[in-house]
Amino acid sequence: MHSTLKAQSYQGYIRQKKLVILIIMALTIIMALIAISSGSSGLPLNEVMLTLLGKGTENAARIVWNIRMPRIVTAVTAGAGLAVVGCVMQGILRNPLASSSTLGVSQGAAFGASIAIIYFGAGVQGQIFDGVTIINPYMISICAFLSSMSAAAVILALSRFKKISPEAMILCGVALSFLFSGGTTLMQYFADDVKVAAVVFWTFGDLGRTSWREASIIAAVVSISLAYFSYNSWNYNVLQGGQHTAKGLGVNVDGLRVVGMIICSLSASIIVSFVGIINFIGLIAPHLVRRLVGSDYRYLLPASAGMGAFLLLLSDTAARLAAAPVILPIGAITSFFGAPMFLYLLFRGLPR
Amino acid sequence: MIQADSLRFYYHPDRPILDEISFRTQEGCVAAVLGNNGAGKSTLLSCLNRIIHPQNGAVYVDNRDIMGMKGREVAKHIAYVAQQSETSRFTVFDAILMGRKPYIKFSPVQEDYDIVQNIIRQMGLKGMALRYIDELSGGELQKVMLARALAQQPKVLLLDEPTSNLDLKNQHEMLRIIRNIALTEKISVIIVIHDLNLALRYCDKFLLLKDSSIFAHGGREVMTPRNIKEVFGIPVAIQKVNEVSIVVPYPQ
Repeated sequence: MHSTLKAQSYQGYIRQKKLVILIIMALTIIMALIAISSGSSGLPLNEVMLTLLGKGTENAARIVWNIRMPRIVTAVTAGAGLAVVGCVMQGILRNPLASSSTLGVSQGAAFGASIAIIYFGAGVQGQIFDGVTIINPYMISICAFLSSMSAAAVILALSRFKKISPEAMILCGVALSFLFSGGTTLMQYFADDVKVAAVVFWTFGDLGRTSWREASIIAAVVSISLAYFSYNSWNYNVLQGGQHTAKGLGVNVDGLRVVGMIICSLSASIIVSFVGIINFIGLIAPHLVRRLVGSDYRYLLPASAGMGAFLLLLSDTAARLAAAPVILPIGAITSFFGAPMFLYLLFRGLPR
Repeated sequence: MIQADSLRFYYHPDRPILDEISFRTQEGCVAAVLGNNGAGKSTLLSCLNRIIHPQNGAVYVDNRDIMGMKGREVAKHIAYVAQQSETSRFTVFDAILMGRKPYIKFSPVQEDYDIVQNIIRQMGLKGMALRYIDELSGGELQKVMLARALAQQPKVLLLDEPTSNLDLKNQHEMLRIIRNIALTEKISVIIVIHDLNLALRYCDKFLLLKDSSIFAHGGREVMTPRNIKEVFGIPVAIQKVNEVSIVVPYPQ
């Protein structure tokens, strides 16, 4: 009798977590609708709803489907992706500091983008700069991707061949971040003003660069990695008890780490190479939801994804509205609001 | 039943951590691994369930070689509780449920929940099933870790210093639980333990490690003052107080 009572309350506890996830998802959807309706040509919410249901005016449909939606989808998928990557990295490296921006992936992307802009004369997608000729709109993304993957490759090679510890992997990422930042600065020092401006502009991050095509690439990558991570959520759970415990429970810890890091780096690299540097989402979203749903990756992963999507949407909408018609750089917004929020979490005590 | 057959492990070939380790223990038996710091006790435990791979030798559980098994299969036969448990934000229930990891395909089934439920009842953890393990005391946490190991339904249980962080009452309670489990679940238990008095009181077999090898191995009869002096490098007397054997050291 008593035992079934307990079972019910455990189920109740699980239901609470599911409820938290549902609330986060609902908030994200509401935020998305607000984001669609706000902008230079104002669209009231009811018109947005009608348009989404295919009953709006042609003009509204054009704005919603061609301009606003790619941006919203990018924000949702990129935010979810960065958050999930941070969440998994924190788990497999057993370090609350791990995220794509603390492991050199973002700085690597910036370095690659600088090479593309300064030496290959690539422009920024969707943006035309005076004096910067666009050779290939994908050039920056490809260079950024290759460069950020090289950061991941060095870290992985070290962990594979030198068997370095998770702590050393983080330190290695920090060192690589400095290396890439130094390289970027040197390149900028010798480049002409317009190109430097283009590099700086790229590194600010911009969700408006993406069209449906890029948004769907990000969506596909994030979905695949989220599926892989969810499949492994029990492995990540067990790893939270320490690597000896995990090995004792039959988990191939080294393999789990390496494959996890490869998938994390791949998705983070693809995201930043399309939208530029967006810091803090990968760090703060998982830590925020850890307080709400605990360390259980079965619930932590979807909750982090939802929270990441919500936060990036919120930041992007704030960036668009705060000084309209000027759109503030999204990377700066996430850092500017993310850092104090993170400090607040630290003061409240960070659950591990 | 677990049997180790000439295990050898080293980080550097000239300096083996374990050399020619062979022994066997029966089900229902609690065996103590004893020796000085650095004698290779924890390493031995980790080699037995392949957390680290010995360079030589074999380990058999019920006559099946575990070196050829998949990690998941090993975990169904042998459970292991580390000396230090890292905690995070999991409830006691979830932490014990993790013991079902080797059996879980994608998500736990009713049987897994039932097994966890039973163990919680058996170990008297009912009142704290929904507490977070990062808020438990050392004694409570150690019990939860033991419960998790039992959820693996193992034939062999390896415990690395299960009493090292516990107070007097909890030390005895823990070892009493371990003894009972060994008998009722027909598990062979191997514990690394520093406290010779606790070992004498709760264990039936003793494995004395010295300089990477087995110095002596057997029942109560190997725990002589002479053997203990040889292994630990300190003269001792063994005396009985109210029918309880205690080791009295005489440091020089």
